[in-house]
Amino acid sequence: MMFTYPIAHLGGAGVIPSTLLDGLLSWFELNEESGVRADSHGSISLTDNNTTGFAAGKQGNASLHVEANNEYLSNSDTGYDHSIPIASGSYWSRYSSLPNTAPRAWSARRGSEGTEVYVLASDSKQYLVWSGASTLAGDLRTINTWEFTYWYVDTTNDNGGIQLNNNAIIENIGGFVDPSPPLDQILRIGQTAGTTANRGWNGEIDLVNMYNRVLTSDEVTALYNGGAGLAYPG
Amino acid sequence: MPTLNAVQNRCDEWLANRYPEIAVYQATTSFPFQGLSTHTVLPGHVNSGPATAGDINADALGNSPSDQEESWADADMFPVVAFWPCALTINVYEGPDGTGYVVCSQFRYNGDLWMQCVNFGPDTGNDVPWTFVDENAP
Repeated sequence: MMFTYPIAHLGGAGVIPSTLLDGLLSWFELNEESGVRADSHGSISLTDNNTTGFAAGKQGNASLHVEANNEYLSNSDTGYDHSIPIASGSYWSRYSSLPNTAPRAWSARRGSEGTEVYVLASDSKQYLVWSGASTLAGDLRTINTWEFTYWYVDTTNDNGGIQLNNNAIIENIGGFVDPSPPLDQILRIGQTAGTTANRGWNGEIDLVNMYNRVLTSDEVTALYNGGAGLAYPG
Repeated sequence: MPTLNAVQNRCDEWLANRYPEIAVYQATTSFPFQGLSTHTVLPGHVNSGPATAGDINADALGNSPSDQEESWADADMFPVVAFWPCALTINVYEGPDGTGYVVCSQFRYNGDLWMQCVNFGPDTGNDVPWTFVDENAP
């Protein structure tokens, strides 16, 4: 049985499924104005690279990234379970320009294998990329607009998906096979976790979370929260 | 007729003198210096001609990040060097274990981009050996 509680006081509509804490690996509020960014749920912290700034976010502050300054947040050893077959996550972001061909809002890589999973925005469209083996095209994005992204990779069922705002999720069966999602080592917000040059984000990022399971549509709707975003529910 | 390894070795030898100069700045000012790329066009080496044919002047020493007043020139970190075999950037970080910086060097060889990063500080995982950078990857 799924328990729920109202979230109208947070500015949204509907209810939060109590299961939103199940399988949650990390939740970054990104309310800090500088320096290390804390994990509200897990135990990893994000190192600040090149003095990432802040701005008003969807809930509290957001991190503000200037691509020309190579500003990003990172953790080089998240320690998440190497063997988990499923990963998902969501975040809010707004880009002020697309100064390079493929800026990353979120990226993770297993350095020893080179496996990388990330979401990029190219030609105003967002993509879920799986180690270069599978690329799933999402919806068009709008410049200077806060937008919500949900993504998942399910290697058990050879599936992946990406959703923009409260649009229908776009899924792709095939291509998301082993190895398991590479969340256990390098995590970067606002820059690629790989060695490809110049893939930095230019704009704000907020409310980043990651799970070791696929979320239900009700849970994704709760994270979107009628366009208001959801602060850490724990 | 420089080989790729020869170019990398020349850069390593040249960088060996740059690292102490950067460290002196850190020790003097007690804060890390963030440096944008020293070159607007990377030194481009080829497998023919003299070994130093690809060295070019660092023409971007006046650039600085939007949230830092000092440029390379303002910091007066290096002696005047007319021609550099590779371009430099310095990325600074603040992590749970403290602050540090990463010096990254880049050049082109027959058009391909090569990069190396050396970490100075508490964060592990920032060192990158000489690596080919795929600029066409998504």
